[in-house]
Amino acid sequence: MLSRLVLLALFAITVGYSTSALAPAHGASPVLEEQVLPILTAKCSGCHGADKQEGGFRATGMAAILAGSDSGLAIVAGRPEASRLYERIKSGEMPPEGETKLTLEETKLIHDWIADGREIRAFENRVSVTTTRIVPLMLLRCVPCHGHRRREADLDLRSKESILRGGKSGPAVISGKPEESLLVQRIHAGEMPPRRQLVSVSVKPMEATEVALIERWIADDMPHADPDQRDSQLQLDSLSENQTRESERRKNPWSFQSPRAILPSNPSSFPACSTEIDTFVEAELHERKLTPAITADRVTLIRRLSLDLTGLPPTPDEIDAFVADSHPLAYQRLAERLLASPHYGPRWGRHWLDVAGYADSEGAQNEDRIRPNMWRYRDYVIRAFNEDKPYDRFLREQIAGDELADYENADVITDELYDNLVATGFLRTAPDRTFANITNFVPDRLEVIADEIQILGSAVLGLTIHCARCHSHKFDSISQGDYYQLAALLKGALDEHDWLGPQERTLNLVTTSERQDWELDEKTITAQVTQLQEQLRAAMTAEAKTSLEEQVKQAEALRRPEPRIRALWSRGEPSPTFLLKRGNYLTPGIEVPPQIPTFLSRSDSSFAEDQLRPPLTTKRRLAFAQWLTRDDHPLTARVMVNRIWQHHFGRALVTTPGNFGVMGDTPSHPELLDWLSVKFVQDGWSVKQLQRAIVTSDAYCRSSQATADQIAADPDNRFLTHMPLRRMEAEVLRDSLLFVTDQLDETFYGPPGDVEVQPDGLVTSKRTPRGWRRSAFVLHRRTKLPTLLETFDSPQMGPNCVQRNVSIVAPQALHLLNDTAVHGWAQNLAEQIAQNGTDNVDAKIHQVYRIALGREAGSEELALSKSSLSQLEEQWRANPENRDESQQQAKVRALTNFCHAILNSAAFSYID
Amino acid sequence: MTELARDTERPLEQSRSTRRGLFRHVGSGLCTAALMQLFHTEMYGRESTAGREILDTAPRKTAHPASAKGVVHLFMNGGPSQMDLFDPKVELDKRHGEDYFKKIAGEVEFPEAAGALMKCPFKFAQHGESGMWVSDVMPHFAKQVDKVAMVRSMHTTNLTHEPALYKIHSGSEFIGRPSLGAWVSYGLGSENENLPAYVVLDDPLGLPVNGIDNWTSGYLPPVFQGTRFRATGSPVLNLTRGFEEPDTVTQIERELLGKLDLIHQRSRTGYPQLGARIASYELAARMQIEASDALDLSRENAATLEMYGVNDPTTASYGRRCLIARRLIERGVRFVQLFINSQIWDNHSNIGTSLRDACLRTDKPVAALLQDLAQRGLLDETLVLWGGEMGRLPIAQLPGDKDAAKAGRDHNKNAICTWMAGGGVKRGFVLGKTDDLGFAAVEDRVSVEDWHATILFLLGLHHEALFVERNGLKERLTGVTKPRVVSEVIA
Repeated sequence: MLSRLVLLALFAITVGYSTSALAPAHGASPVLEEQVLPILTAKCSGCHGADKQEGGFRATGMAAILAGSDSGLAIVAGRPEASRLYERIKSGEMPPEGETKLTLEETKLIHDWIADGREIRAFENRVSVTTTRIVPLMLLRCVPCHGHRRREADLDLRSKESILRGGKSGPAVISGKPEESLLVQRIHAGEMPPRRQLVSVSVKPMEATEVALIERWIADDMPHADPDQRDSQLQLDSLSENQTRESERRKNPWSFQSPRAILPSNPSSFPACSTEIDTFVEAELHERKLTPAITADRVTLIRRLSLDLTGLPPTPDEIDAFVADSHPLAYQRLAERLLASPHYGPRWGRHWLDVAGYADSEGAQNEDRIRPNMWRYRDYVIRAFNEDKPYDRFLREQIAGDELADYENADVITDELYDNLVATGFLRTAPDRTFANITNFVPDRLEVIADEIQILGSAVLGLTIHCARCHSHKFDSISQGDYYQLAALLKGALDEHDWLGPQERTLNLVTTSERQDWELDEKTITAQVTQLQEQLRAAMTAEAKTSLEEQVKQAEALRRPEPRIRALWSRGEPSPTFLLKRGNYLTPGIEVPPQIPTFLSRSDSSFAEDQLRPPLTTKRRLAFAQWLTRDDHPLTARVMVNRIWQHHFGRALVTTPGNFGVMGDTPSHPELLDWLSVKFVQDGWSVKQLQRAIVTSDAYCRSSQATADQIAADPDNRFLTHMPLRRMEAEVLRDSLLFVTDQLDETFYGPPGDVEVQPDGLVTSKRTPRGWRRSAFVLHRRTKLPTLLETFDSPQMGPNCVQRNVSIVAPQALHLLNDTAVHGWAQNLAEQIAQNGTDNVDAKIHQVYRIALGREAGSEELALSKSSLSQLEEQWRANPENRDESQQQAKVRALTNFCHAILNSAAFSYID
Repeated sequence: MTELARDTERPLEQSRSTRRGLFRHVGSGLCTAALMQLFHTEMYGRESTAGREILDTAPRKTAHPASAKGVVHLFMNGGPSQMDLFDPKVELDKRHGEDYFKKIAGEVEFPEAAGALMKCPFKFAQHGESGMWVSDVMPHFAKQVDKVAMVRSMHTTNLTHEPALYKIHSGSEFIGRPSLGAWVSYGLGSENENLPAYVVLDDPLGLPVNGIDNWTSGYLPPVFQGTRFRATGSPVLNLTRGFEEPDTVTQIERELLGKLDLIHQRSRTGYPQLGARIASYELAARMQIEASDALDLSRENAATLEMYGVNDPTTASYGRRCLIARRLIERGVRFVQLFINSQIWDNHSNIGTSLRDACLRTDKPVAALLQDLAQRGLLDETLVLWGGEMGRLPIAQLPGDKDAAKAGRDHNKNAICTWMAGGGVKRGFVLGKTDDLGFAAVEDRVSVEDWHATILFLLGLHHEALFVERNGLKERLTGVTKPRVVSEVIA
């Protein structure tokens, strides 16, 4: 809120305008030189002068001021209210706190100078328009029909040379003569872009100011670069330099240094520790005089570890076997078994699908169109986790799988080749509305690209790179140039001027064996149909005809659509990339070459990087992925290790897993994170090896019982005195409910299980003949997420999720208590127990406890359960509607209620 | 503030903290309900299970005194035609039939169907003491004009429904951001502990465009999401049992569950989420009673039912929802949002009849709501909002056979008419001007962000101060824009 004083002052300025003291701009005394610049030099040049250009802004002369800042234009002739230079001063933002502000007179003078505008316009008219400014304009308004893919009238408008060459009607431009140039004539006549076809090619007509630019460019003989303006690379460097200076001032975060593996200085002082991890944890506890909790009992441990590694609870037999196992490495062997379980993949793959922003539909539009074949990426991820695919390989495939091998000339599509291509689905997960012409304009496409960069940044680098889309990062050393360099690296596949609609992103490159299977099926069906049709022609009776027609239909119904994969691949001839001022596609700035990011190696980082790498031509994404997976990369391993740790302990070492920048949290155990990260790389980027180390640590095996002292001293359990109690995640809850009630359909992989929407809005997954499929294999349509999953915080991908919420709300209770399916599952469990034959109530209660909670009922629980069961039976028998039922039926009904209560209980959904 | 906002971003289970921490949060004036719920049980221990003060969304102090306590948002999906309802254009009558397409070609969704300038098919007249212009398709609303502030100069950024809907509901053209109602519940909590803070009354005939995304909590916890109340049957999803069993049996099962959960909680100290979970089960039970009561229209007298058009098949559906909206506002629900199936205001063709039909379904109920809130003294503290996601073009959109008699109007992002009433808004007031043809707002322009900031302001919130930290960004309803509170409409 502006203070009253400032308002008054503003009023004075506005009213005072008519009596301006401004000297005439067209006279001999230039206002800028004599009046404005002295003010700016005195008050602004400390930060916006020749030596230092904060925010990319230099207030040293007309050209510099007109060039604007990272945030866009600084002045607009005649419009002070739209001029950032004036607005920032007026609002009191600039000069910043502690610096000498401009006086009211000085502020008014700048206002009047901009409002008058004549001097600025005069200068603007003198500055020539360069090809760099015109190319983005052509790309935006003309190239969809006159470019690489489409070349109407044989005209290519992508470069100065091709414009001069022209098309069927001759050269598009006659240098120096705008009025004689066909290009200008056609635009002026309103013929181009053709008005009635605008939406069909997703193009908007040219703005008057844009036509004026083209005219000036032609009039000035189409100069390539403006002598007054600095070269692009220099400008880019200055952006980076500014950003480096900024980050030096704020200090680069710890995370930009490569990790180093240093064990605690005196490991021998903690002889009781079983693993290296524990020496780090113990050192922190020791320093804070914290006593860790005791080790959890075996029953607790097997439930914790099973749910953690496979997302399913242990069976009573598995529990018995583990409790009875006297082998000294019984626990380690349990961990091995669970890591090798096929159910491990759906559990840990799901974590990755969260950060990748996976969904089976496009979203963004009402139709929420299905993304056919996206599930192949989901299967790829789950298989990769099951096979313990090295993380560096996993990343390279997802970012540049198409550039890893020559799939175009391959005779056989092997599993490996297939994996490489399907993996690139990682950069195809963002919500996308570009499948319809009306939402497929350049800014729509840029949103998709921005989302993919955000996913890449937060999932892999743990950085908020997306902040630098509109301005250099406010906190980290990421300049706006860095952002667009990254965009340039992706350009071969994600090019807003050469866009593949969502429908066109498939290739028929499934494995040769899958393809052959399909072709064989097709052949068989065709043969069958041909034969039936012959019979049909020969058929005499109407009955026979009907029957044969029916058979043809049935045979045809067995046809499957051609198997295809969804992927991302380089398409050749990527468009040039321009820095977009303020992130706005209408204000392109300098051209930005595709280069490996250098922002991590600025300043005092130990991560040495060749600053003078030449721009890349081909295989840009592969080069980027190789840079990302360098052994000494400061972020890649750390970010993944932190994520894995988070899922095991419910709390990450860095509690902002998507932000390792200056504004992110600092690690609770910095040396541990580094040691684990180095070890992770040394162990061949093996996720399972890392997990082996984590789950066998003392820290992981602790009881969840905290003492009052521990809570008082460390309320967030930052230092791991105990294992925190955790609620099952949505998928674990649903899968566990299905598993303990024997309703889990263990069919893995393939097209997702369908969902259905009830009239009241309830979304459920469809039952298969064998039960219900695991949540990871259920259709993940953005607008139709199964209610049970959504209510328990399964995320909406916007565009991805680096950390889930854990909410506790009434609809969760309502769902578990009142939903028909949950009740049906309880009934299944009750029937299963009833069939086991025992009539002993205690035994039944213990059985339910063992199956659902992995332990026997305590004495108090047993007593309560018994008395409730007998009351329930009595009520069911007394119910007039159940008079005719047998006693046995009443017992099953009562037992159903009991099972239902147990499945609803906190003991079921919370993991100790 | 920063600290608080950070906490909301972390998984709530990790936000275990001390009592001192709680007071620090509360002291900052804004605290998320879910956190409040967690802390609550820690503070009151076992007493909370008595059910007196367990909060779903605890009411919170406002940044400045609020003139509105609650909101009814009458959302008109499709883009109501401003020049056919509230913004008469003499020039359009005069230039009817003139070719104009080329001048606005980039602003048309269906260029191949674009026709000439088209005058309004209805008659305009001035109404009330304010002399506000309303066309003759809204005779009931015309009698209420002295209660409303009409904004003729709103505009948006995309001329396609889906992005424009995301924009008007969440401030961004893209999926995944919290909706206005979610932000308001996040900022203010609820006055009624037994009902959701944010209730959505969607049409039993079907969802609006973008479906449930319209009331999503996005990256805020689901407690702030709009809860759908159905006008008939069980009002909330899973509110009642989906299976048959005697109430006595349910009672025994619930008691057993409650006791087992207490045993479980007793042996686990320092986990407030276990108490919160018990509380959520109790809230579920209370919601069952309170929600059914709020939706029970048999308690309304015949005159009221008549006024809302509940007895007339054309207005019955929307009338019921308007009446339920009043009953929810009476009960302290913070944000009530009404939807209509599909897009009845998307009059691409036959505007003379299709727009009239849309008015027939809604005009009488909307006017009744204004009148009823006023006569019960609720309008002063209730902000009523009426409007869609975009406006329409001054040129005709022609059908395939180019028959002008069947013409409608295409989408227009440059001019929107919307109105606000009650809750500290001026009465009988018109803001803003469009150009002579009604194509674009030219004076006192109001962006969607301005509109959001104004609504928040009336509720005692400030758009800059209402944020949540996520991925290193302070996420706000109004994003990184610098909107203005439209002070002209504030009384």
